[in-house]
Amino acid sequence: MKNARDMLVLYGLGLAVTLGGLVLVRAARPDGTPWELLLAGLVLLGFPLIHVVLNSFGFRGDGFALPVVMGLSGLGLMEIFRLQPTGMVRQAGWILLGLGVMLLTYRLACDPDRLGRYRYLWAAGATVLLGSALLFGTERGGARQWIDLGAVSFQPSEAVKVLLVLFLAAYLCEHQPVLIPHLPHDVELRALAPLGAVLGLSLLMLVIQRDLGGALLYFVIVLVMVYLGTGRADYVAAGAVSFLVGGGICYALFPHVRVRLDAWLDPWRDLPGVGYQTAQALFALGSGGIVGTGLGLGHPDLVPAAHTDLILAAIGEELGYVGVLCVVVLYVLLIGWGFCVALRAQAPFSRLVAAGASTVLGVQVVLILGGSLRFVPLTGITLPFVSYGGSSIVSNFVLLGLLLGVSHREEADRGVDRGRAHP
Amino acid sequence: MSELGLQLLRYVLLAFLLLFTYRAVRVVQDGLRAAAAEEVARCATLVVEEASPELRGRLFVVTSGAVIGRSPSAEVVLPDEFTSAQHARLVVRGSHFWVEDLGSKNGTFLNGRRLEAPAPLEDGDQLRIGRVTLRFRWPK
Amino acid sequence: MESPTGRRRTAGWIVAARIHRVARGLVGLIALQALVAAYWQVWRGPHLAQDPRNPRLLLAEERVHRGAILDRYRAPLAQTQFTAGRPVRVYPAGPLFAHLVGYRNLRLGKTGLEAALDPVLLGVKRRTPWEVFQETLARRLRRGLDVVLTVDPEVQRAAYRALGGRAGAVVVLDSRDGAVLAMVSAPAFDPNAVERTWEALRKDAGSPLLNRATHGRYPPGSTFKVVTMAAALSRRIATPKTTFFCPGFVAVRGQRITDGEGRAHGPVTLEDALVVSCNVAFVQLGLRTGGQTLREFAAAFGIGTQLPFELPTDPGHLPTPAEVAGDGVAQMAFGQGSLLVTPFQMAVVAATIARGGVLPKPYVVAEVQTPEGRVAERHRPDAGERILAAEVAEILRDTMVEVTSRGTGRAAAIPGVAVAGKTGTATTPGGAPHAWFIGFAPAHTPRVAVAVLVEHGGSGGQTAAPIAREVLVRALQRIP
Repeated sequence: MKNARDMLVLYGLGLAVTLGGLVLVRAARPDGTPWELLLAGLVLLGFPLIHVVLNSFGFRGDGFALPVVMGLSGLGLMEIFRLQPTGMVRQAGWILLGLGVMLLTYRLACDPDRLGRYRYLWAAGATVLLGSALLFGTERGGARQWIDLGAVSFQPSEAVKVLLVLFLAAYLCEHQPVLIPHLPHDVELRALAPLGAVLGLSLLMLVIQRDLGGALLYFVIVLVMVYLGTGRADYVAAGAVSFLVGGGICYALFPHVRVRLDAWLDPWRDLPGVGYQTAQALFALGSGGIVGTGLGLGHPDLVPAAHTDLILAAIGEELGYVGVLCVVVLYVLLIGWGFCVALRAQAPFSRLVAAGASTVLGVQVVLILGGSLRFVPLTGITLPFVSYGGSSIVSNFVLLGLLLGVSHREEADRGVDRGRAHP
Repeated sequence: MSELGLQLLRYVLLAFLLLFTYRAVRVVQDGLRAAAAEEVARCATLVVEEASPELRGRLFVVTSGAVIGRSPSAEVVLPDEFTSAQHARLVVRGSHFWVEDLGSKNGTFLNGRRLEAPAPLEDGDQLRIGRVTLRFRWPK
Repeated sequence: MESPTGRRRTAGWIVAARIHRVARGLVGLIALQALVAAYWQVWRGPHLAQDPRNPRLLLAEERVHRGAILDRYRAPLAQTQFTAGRPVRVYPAGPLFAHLVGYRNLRLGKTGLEAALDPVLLGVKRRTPWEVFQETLARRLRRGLDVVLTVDPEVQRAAYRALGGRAGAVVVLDSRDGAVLAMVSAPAFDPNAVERTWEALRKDAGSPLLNRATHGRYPPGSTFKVVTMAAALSRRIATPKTTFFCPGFVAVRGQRITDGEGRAHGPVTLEDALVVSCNVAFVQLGLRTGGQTLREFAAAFGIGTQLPFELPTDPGHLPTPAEVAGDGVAQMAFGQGSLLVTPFQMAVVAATIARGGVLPKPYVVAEVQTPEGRVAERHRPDAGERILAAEVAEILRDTMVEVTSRGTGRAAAIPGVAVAGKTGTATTPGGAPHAWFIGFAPAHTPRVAVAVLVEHGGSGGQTAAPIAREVLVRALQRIP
């Protein structure tokens, strides 16, 4: 698709940027050992390596996403190294794990029918995971989204978002003839019921766990996928209305929500208290200006959760608007790529999976970019591939694997068609 | 490392980051341009060679899915009494245009032979629909 | 296998446009963030970077060796010392200069001269981009400039000691050029311990954090009579020998105005009225002068406006024209009513009379010098504005000398030195009256002007005048 030379150039530049950045951080703040730089470099080399491995598997799809994700991961590693050198090592480990999982997912996704067949497994798995978070989860920051397994902890809601996409895609494909034409209501509702149940259950569990960012994400995913699958604007409208109603109830019931909303509306009013995070993020961004303060020379550590939720503020402070612009552009390219894969796919299930995966990535990006920039309230969603966090990294790599699988399958099928043209 | 060097490196890093992003954008741009070219390439032309005087010499630009027939809703309208309302259709599959007969009364003829099943078209092929002869042109 | 074009095409057809819509929406939202970021980083960037609430500003200060504030003799009143590599701001004088010098604390902010002279102390000057670049390269600890003040620690100490533990303020000016020799506000606090004792200081009912010299608003009481007299003399409404009759009280607007002791002075000249501080006479004088004129002269002395000074000062309160219309002027005439002044303002009044009717331009920064010792800036003397005719000032001066020789201000008399002064006992709702004294010495070749206020101190002559005496003696000793 995109020729090898272009890919090589991108990989090379991405590597140069990350390593250069790490060197600069080290020069400005001499903690951490040179071995960490080596580790980061090796992990990033994993990307072109995976590309080669894919090609050896006969990959026919569009691998453009790989160097883009490498660039983003590299930026993340750079900034995390600056904020928390030990964290960088863990992040590198997560990325490595993520690459491996991506490869596995890719293999699975090459046979989409198989993915579709297990739809009820996905739904059950999602329920189990969310339930386990509810039962065994540990309270952290007012929300109960994490399960501690000793040295590591993971967030089940991240895994569930993937399963949700798969389940919805399969379900919508199966019931497509029923959902689109205007059939009598009871038929429709019966078809919609499991969807509603899944949505309702997952939302309920999230709300109880106070993972409101996750709830928002799920809601949007379901809404978008239902729209894609049925094209019915009235479903979307009904969904939007129930979202507003639900949102209103949450606002009334949870001080947690009110705090977030107030902080978004006017962070300056209660700077040391409610608005602290948002205000510090804005100070960091503003202090960066256009070219930033330079890696290691700024004070992103003044921003709470700088290495997870608000990593954009850290990048904005040290790399300036230039850095933020590049990040935004790279995400535009990534999400655009995902939707291109969806459009080029022929089988409806593949289309829905690809579109759903792209939507998940895209919504996450909008929520966290918007949250960091005070465009929308902060929701606890992290920046895909850049923010520190194993569950987020791995689940987003799974989405990437799905997209690569669909891309491969689609190109392979086209080739088959072409083959048939010559009797 | 000297201070001056570090400061310079700072700007060099930003430059590289911009370069990386720029190159990625270019890759996408080139890809889109190629896809657009591909889209353009997916247009073929039908030239009317033999027909009644008002039709002769007419040029029809067709894309995948074009229907040839007497019905005014067809992409290629042939007001010829021996042409059915929905006579034949052209579809792109893979890298070729295919022609299929849509159950016409008088049949579709490709290079003189009556079409029994959908068949691929090459540049220069001749189609006969009713009393109209069309030349399929699709330079690669 | 079913026709590839059939089922697939229908499904593809249905979903494609929708995918486009969703894609465009999401990608559009993401791209929009680039604009939002531009707003914050490019448009509002400089504003955010310099926002005083931005903790980075305070951290940046850590990279500067803050300049020192020195007294007249170049002894440090505030300086930065390095303990274990970290800069610590130290105030060797402790509570003595707490209000004038102020403090600079990372968490609590800056007050006093530490705040007002911040750009100088941080060495922030107009720099070219090249200088900024060089400085970033060098990453050297920038040094701020040192500030030399006009204050004399001995005079300050004398004033502080004379106040004893009482709440009040003392301002001492060099009447020749308006240099501040001392500015004391009590109760005070130790700026070295301000962070530790913050909560206690905040809650203290005595308001130790308030600079009473520049921000304490009090009715001036009888000390204001010099202004009333100045107005009357200047407008030829009366002469020093003009006689008034004091039956011990006067009724204005249903209110009885008397003197503090309820004494009836009988017939008094204007001169004597000032010397014995007869309210009744001055009410009569005030009524004759009129509120308009009195307001004018008060404003000329700087009451009601913020005096130009290195520190922000309270303008006090000048009664509105409506308040002093007709017989409303009565209260103002003897320094009561809604009239409010700061001790600093009254010191300026005293100095003006000392200077023969020319308003001084008070200042406290003598010079600014670079860390290498070179003088970067020196105070340029300003002649000041004449607001009273020299003759009027002379009359006032002579009368004020009588105040300390035979009048209410005897406690301020210094053997061998003619002291000009005026006492004040300002009644105030709730509590004993405030004790005032303003004056200057030596009367005929003045060098020092002073204003003393003791909150709820009672009689000006008894409480404030002795303090003024102590202070004047010290100041005259120190200042040739």
